[in-house]
Amino acid sequence: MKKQYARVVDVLEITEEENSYNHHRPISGLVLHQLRHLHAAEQSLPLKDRTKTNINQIHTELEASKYIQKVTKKLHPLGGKKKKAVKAGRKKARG
Amino acid sequence: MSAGLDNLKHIVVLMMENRSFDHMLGGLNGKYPQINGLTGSESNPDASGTTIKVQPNATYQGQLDHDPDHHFPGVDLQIFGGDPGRVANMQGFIKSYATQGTGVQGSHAIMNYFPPDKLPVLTTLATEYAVFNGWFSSIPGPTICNRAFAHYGTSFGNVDMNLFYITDPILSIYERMVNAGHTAKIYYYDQQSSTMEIVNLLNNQPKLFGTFAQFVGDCKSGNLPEYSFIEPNYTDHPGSGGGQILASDQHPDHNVKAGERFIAMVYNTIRTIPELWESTALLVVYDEHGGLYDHVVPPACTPDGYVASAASTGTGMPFQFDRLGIRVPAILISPYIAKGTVVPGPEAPANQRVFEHASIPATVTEHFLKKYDKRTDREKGAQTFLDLLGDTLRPDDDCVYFNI
Repeated sequence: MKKQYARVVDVLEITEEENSYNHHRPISGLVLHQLRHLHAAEQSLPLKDRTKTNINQIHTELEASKYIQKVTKKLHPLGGKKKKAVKAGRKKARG
Repeated sequence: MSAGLDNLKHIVVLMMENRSFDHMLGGLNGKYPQINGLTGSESNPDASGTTIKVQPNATYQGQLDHDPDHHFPGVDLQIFGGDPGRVANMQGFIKSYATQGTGVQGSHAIMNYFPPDKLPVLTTLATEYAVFNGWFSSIPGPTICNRAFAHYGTSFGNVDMNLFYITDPILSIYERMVNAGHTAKIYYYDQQSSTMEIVNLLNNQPKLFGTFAQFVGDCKSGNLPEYSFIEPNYTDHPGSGGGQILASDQHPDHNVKAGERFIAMVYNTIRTIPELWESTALLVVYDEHGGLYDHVVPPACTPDGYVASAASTGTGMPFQFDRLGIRVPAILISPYIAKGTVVPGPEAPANQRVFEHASIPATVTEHFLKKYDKRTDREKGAQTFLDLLGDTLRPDDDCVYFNI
């Protein structure tokens, strides 16, 4: 049985009207620099493992997240362990 | 040693992005006058010379779509207001924001703050546990160099976002811990978001890293390291199993509510495991102010032995790392902390305590490693915060839980 807590504070829902998910948002200066740092780190990988991505062609958060994932997987493989994804904020089905 | 300190086995730090103390917590001053927030009379001049007061009109998203300047020269303008005599007056925030293409009217948004009921997670934690009136970013500059202070107790002379490669004998707090037989980990959100500590740690020390899902798993399985540092999600991106994942870092102009939910998730993960809850101190802190208004003048600090050149500061003047950056929200959470604890800052000169991100490795080092000499004078001189844990364990019914 789920434990009942005496003092509960509601966290605000992110409403559909706010509809803020936007992976086409242009990347911030922060993410731009993260890309540059990853690109530099990528140069330490064997040639066959490098993505050959021109990071100057990355403009959106979606494009950035794809590149970041590729390089992070190389630098920090998770050992094939499948962990259950944990959602942050709203997570909704595609469609 | 207090009972809280005696029982402490884990320190967890969650570092969010780019919001000032007054922007997030300044509105608490109305109900809690000991919290050094806003009275409503604080102001800045705009480009036309009109005085613009702070307003409780901050929105979760859409108001800061021009990213406020938080690089070294921009923060310099914010602090000194362009005063040729360089007297710190915190009068340059609107002038600085206007340089980002906002127009005069749009530049006023930098003075907006959240009324407390719009941030139930952060304001509840601030009033239920310990809030710091005087926690400052380590450098009046951007993310990477400020986060470096949380990892190393120094930025090795850097004041910007550029790459740096560490050649000094100063190790990260994680390496110090692991080398001494302790456990430590940086948990980034997921592989699409990754970490901001790439070149010196992810590239060379991948064993130090995990994902947020692994953090949750480690908490549940009793394998949480002694020291953990959590990074939020930095981008909106599809989930690996489908769906959409919102950025939770609260960096403008990401949705602040998503960050609230993430903070609540980290808190609940610890809160709902009794043995972990009673043996963990969780620090929620922001890396820097992100260009947003704060009324407290950053104080002087112990230099860390480095000098940033005039060329690298962009102000025409070198920087000796002898003063701090702008104030940020910081909250320490533990059931051994008395409800409503407010740690005095510069508003109370007689008993002020000034913290900054070097306080993080300083605290972890002090607690787990005791004597450790290979660190900067800045870190050695930084305030530590575990003395806030007292002898009394608050009853479970007295500690909040978030309904996410």
